[in-house]
Amino acid sequence: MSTALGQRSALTISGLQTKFHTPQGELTAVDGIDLTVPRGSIVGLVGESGCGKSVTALSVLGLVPAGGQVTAGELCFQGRDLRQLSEKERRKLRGDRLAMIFQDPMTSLNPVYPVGRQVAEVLRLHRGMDRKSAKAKTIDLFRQVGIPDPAARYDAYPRELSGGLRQRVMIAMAMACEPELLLADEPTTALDVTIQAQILSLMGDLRREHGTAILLITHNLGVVAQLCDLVYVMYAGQIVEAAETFALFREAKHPYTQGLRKAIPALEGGQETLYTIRGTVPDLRCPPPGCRFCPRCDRATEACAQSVPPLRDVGGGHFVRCFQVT
Amino acid sequence: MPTILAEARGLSKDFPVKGKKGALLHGVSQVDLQVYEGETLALVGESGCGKSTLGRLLLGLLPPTEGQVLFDGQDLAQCAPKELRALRRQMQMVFQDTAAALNPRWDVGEILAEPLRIHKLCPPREFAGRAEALLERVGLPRQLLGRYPHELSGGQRQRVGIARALAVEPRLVVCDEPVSALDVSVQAQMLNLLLDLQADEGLTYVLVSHDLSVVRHSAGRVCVMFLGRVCEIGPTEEVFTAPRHPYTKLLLAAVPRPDPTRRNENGPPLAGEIPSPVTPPSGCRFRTRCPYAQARCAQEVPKLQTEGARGVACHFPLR
Repeated sequence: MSTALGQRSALTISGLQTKFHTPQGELTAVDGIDLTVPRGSIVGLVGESGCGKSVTALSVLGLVPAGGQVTAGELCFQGRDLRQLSEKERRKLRGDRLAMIFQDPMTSLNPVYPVGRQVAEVLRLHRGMDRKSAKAKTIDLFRQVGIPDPAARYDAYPRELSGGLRQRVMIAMAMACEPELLLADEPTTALDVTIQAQILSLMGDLRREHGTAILLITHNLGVVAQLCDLVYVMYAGQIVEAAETFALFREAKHPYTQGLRKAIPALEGGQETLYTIRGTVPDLRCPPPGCRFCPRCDRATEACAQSVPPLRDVGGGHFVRCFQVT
Repeated sequence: MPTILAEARGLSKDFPVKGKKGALLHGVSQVDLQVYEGETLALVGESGCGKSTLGRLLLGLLPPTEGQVLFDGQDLAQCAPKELRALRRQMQMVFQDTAAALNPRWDVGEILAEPLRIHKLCPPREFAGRAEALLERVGLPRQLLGRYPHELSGGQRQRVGIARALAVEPRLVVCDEPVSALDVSVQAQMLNLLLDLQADEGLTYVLVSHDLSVVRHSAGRVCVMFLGRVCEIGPTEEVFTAPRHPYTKLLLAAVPRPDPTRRNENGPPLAGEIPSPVTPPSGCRFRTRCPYAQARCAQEVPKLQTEGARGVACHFPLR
């Protein structure tokens, strides 16, 4: 999780800060994030709405929406800082070495072109393939991601496909150039649970067979537990806990992570009343001066309200941003 | 034997398909279902299984194509408009999309007064006082009375939606995905609130949900649906620990457990897509995805066989 890992990591984010200008003032959506995605690994970034997890991904891609700006930090990908690249160089990377899939494939696919052409376009653009071989390769990709009758689907429009099939098309597109890193933002949130299981297993195959590293952004702790090697938990623009998946689920240490786990009803039942995290997420235009979780925390003391706790290693690569954890 | 509050008998709902003359989308097919007073019955299944449509049919918000809906023993279709209005007061709905369910041009006070006005439950001068009491019951400060929906968070809006449903003192509340648009921490608050209100007022809930963990936590009985038909019904704990329909089993297996030590224990995921409800498979509608399907499944629609509190619609139920 330090920059020393830079050589063996697919992506190293250090000190990332992304701000938005709003009519009510400046908002720091991402406030000093350090995150490493080791080569060929799947890393989960979890948190609730507005915690800055999606903005982190968009910052890496250089696609922060209007009004927002990356104001500090380094985004090290393949030995280069993505922030130093020109727009042209970034565009060359996106869709080639650096791929992405989003929650809603309907808005990511162009509705007026057949899906096959959209995937073939990636191959023609980044690999310089001719029309015929790009089509053949696309159909092959469709087969790999489990699209039934791939040749016939080549000419289908996005609206003619189900949500699960559209997401498979997006994954085929992301896989087209065998990227080093895939950023997946809530890739299964809009899907039914049996289809979600299929897509998750497909993402596991992608890593196993092509060595693609994946940064998986999700709010679903179940998805993280099933797929990820490492987990980062985000709250109000900061990382509050980071650990190997097994360690985090064996013993979550940050009160926020603990609260999230207790708030989810278990499929096996057994809870009378669900644990609730009191209060609401702070307004990031004027975050609390100390620990951002302090106003909602059961274990907060005076020190917590005064200064921001550092993210520190509490043993075995388990990082926690909390004064109360020893 | 508990009393039946609402009941579906041979209930079907088809929708015409736009642009395809004569084609019908089979939303709900041949459903028999009883909702008992004071219970929480969950309708669970994936997109297009008809769970929301069934919820609306039970409230008489959609006219059935075939079959009957009874509320408190009365057939909704046979009721005169005036009787229907009186019955409607006893049934309410809570929606998933909290932003769409509330009128954006009305403040919270007006939203909560509307059902009181429609059903003439109190003179207009008492509206404000009643609205305040309702807010308190769902755990919101009365300062919110003058706020508009866009000024509230998703969780606050859902509480207003619940307060509005409670305004008429209903007996049956159909909650259509009440927490699926909410963050985990807010979801827990909402589920606790719904359970508290039920304990206090003896409400009956029909909980429409795709989230099996939420169902397990909140519902005493569960009805698993696939493509418009009931696959399995019974006490939630029994159905979840020993499913008898292959679909129930595979659906439960597909839920990602928040426990990394339990990876891959459920084998490969259920293959295939959900078939089109316009042209559903013959016989058992699940057979195209079912690993246990045999020739008989394509020929004969399996009937719901009941045994005690449990029912299963499968030719080859799991033991």
